[in-house]
Amino acid sequence: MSTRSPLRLGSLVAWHRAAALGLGASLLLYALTGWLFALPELGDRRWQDTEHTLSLRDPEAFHRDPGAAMPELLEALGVRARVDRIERSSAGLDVLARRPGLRVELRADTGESIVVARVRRGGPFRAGSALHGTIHYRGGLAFVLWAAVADLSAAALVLFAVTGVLLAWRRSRGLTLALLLPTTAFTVAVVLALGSL
Amino acid sequence: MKRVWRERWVRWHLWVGVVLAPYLVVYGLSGLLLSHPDWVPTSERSWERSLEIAPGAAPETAAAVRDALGLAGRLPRWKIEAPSSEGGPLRFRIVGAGRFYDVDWFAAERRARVLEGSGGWLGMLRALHGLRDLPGSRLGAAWGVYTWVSLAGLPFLIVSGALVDVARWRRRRQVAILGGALLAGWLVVVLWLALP
Repeated sequence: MSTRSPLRLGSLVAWHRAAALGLGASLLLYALTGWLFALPELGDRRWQDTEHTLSLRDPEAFHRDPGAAMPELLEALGVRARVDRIERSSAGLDVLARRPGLRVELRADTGESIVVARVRRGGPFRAGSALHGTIHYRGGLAFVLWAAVADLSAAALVLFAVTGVLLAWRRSRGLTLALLLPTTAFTVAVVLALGSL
Repeated sequence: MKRVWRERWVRWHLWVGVVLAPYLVVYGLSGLLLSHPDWVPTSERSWERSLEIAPGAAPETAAAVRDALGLAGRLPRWKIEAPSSEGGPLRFRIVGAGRFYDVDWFAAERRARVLEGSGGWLGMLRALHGLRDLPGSRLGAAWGVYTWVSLAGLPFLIVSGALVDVARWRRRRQVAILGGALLAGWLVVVLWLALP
């Protein structure tokens, strides 16, 4: 390999370290939230509920397009959350907005100009646990940044694995093949078998 | 760290890493698919098959029908509906790797009607993310073992890699500062999301 090749030892080690650096920090966060997710008995997870009644400035507009009116209502409630679900029935509208550790449930009866809102706060332990599954690119800048962290970690993991194998290959081709072939064959077998079920 | 110990850590780091590498690649790719659900195409199809199954309690019959159909997946209890008194079908859902099967089992007619929803190969790859078991599939259970080994081994790779590089981190303070800044930045995002 030429000294300018991206596969030369110095470059490989640098890429491997860069991937591990990104991975190491985010792994700590994912491990922490993962433990909170896996151990629901850890910490106080009880919901603290408060109920509020809000007047609608334009009830017709709200019932026509509740998503557009939600930011103003959430601001009036003093909470930040993303709208997850809007359900319509003949009786009225049910809207659910969420953020890790927080739920806002709104009910607006047809023809009424008020909204009843229940704000549920689950505390930092519930919030940490919920973060583990919050990986979607919607709901505001903080959600987008968190999802970007998840994506970067995933990409770093692939880079970390590939550069690591290349470094091992430079050290001993025989041992690398002996260790890599069985696990690669097993992985391919699982993918083929489960994909064709 | 003495040279001989550093060499040992490097060796263990590399060879454990090589064993875990295929899993880590799948874990990374499936992680990307998890946060981009729109990348996974979905399709549905229906099919029917005749089966000879001895009648029994609903969960056991559902498992027997799943096995007789040659399918693999969990049977969520809240998705099992026992037959109505008027002789309706036993209804249940099989949650497989990247696909689901809504099954109606007509005991009197010895017939199963299946609505299959699939995310294709990408859906299956996404389902491998942290998959610990897949009832009805030995390969799925074996993948579960690989999952546990890999998730236990990943922190070892991080720690052993850091130990190998301790001397280098001391020399290159800017790398440590960058790592600390990354972690601090991400913690700010976490607090921003989680705190009211």
